[in-house]
Amino acid sequence: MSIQSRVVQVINAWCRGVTMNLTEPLEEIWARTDHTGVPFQKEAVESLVAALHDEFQKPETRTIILVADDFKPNGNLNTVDDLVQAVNESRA
Amino acid sequence: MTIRWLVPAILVSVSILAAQPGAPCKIIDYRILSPTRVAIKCDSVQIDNFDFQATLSGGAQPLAVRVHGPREKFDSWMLFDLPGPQQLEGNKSYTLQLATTGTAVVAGQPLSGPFAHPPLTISTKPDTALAVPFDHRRYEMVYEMHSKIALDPATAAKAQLYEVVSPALRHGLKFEIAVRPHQGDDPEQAGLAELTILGGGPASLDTRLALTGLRNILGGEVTFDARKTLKLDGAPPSKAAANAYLKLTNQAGPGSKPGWAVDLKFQPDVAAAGHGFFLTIPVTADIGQNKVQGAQVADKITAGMGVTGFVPIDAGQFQGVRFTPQGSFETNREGTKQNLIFDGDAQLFFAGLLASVKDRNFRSYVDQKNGRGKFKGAKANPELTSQDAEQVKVGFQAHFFLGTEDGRPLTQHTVNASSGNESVVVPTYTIARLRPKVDASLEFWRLTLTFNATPRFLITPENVTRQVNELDSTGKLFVHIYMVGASGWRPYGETSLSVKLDAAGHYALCSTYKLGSQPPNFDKINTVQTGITISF
Repeated sequence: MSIQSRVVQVINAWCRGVTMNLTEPLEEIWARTDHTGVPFQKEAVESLVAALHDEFQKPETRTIILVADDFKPNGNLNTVDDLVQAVNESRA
Repeated sequence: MTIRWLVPAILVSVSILAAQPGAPCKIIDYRILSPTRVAIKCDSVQIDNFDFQATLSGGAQPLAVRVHGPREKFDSWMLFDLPGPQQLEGNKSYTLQLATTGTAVVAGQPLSGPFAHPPLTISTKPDTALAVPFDHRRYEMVYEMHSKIALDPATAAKAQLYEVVSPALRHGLKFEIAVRPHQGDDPEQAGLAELTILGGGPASLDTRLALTGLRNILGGEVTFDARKTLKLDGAPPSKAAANAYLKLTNQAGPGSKPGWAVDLKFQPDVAAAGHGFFLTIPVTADIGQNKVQGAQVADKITAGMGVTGFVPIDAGQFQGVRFTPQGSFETNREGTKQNLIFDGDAQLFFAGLLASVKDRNFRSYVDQKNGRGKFKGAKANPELTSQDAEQVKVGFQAHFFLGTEDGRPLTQHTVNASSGNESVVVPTYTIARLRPKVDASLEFWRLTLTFNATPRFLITPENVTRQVNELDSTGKLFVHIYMVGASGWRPYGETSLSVKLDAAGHYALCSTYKLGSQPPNFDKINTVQTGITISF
């Protein structure tokens, strides 16, 4: 499975919903999937990073060193595409 | 053919065989890079190496253009050039009809249509969207400007920015503008500029800005849509929600020196510790000096190190819990208490309790954009920006915590009276406390009412000191210090009303009523303090 497919799969499990397209902001996906008790920053982001970390322990492995501040609004990661790119650029 | 090309080619072929409108691709955006070059963006799920004919109409005559891409560097963007001496003109509306020949080449392989996507409208009218601050940690407000037409950096020096107070009244704003050069025709960089508003920024959370003097590469003057307002990202509504928080307050009373108090919280996550946990080094202080007659200030400083991690739970209303176990050093301003404790904290997250103005506005925007929630049945509006979404002025949120503090003082220590020669030796003791906590806030416009209560329960008695003024045998006043045991319920609570001073609410005037007692010495506090709050 490609990196992109694996990231999308992690996001779908994380939000318990479906990613509509790669340009959708992660914060909007979180809000769209009815999480009215857990803030995107930083609880949701931290759980997403933990889920990515677990997924990319498996081959083809990636070293996920992201933290909550790498995501919007403090960081540059905003959309699904941004996250795919960040994982792609992570050390194998 | 490489695997990289094979997968999208198969995807596209399958979609065509299914006779549905899915190819060559769904166009979701465009950029005008120069008067002769345009970039168009496909939904990047299915794109790889397209090459097809298109017709651009809207000029003097329809033009046949060849759209090709993506170029590896600019993934999912394709380019076309206008033929010969033709150039795009400003203030026009062009239409791009894709794959007019009914064929396209994908990954080097010819594919047949029909390609039923609607034509793309390419507007050369100058317009610019202003994004909410992407870095509100800085005092200056920084915005990203997005234009579909590349901007002319040479005109940036002539730009002027105004806050539109009314149709007849504009206030000039101090600002800096940096037009991002789009090197190598990178469409992601084209049309971008960084706008930094200096000083206090706009006077309102909900304002209109006007820009003059900045031009795009077609010569059009860039403007903001006059109907669109700019909504600023707000500050965290309470101390519990903030990573950095500082409250400076003052209290005064008849016959007493004015007193001051500081309430500080700093809780950064510094590094990933694995399994979803992060290393954290929280520091808190609630201290003061020059107590006013009859009103004691809180006197507690803690510094710790531990880990923090959020565990999502799929159990209906209960959505997750954040665990923060840490070792903590607890003391008072005089240093007469030095407790080493294990501080275990669990923050519980329940559905529906996160409804600050900022949260409600964002959810409303997402619902309107997707035609869901209370906008179900209404047409989805993918082009909606957060600035244009329906806004609310009332919000609330509540945080619930369960915690425990367990440990003991580092050593037996001697505590001196605040004046005179008396002192008392305080032996070590066991600390075992239960610490439930609730923190709630209600927002209306620029007013925020916060309430927090910590009904702490001391399972084992703790040795604390008290002081009273007494008369000695000569009739002279002296301070008598003695030791008592504190045990059972030792509740503490605060209620605070604050008024936001700046547009984003990072700075506020506040008045706080504090009642109860706090470790380590559990002095009774009953005071009102007024001052300024800074939170990020």
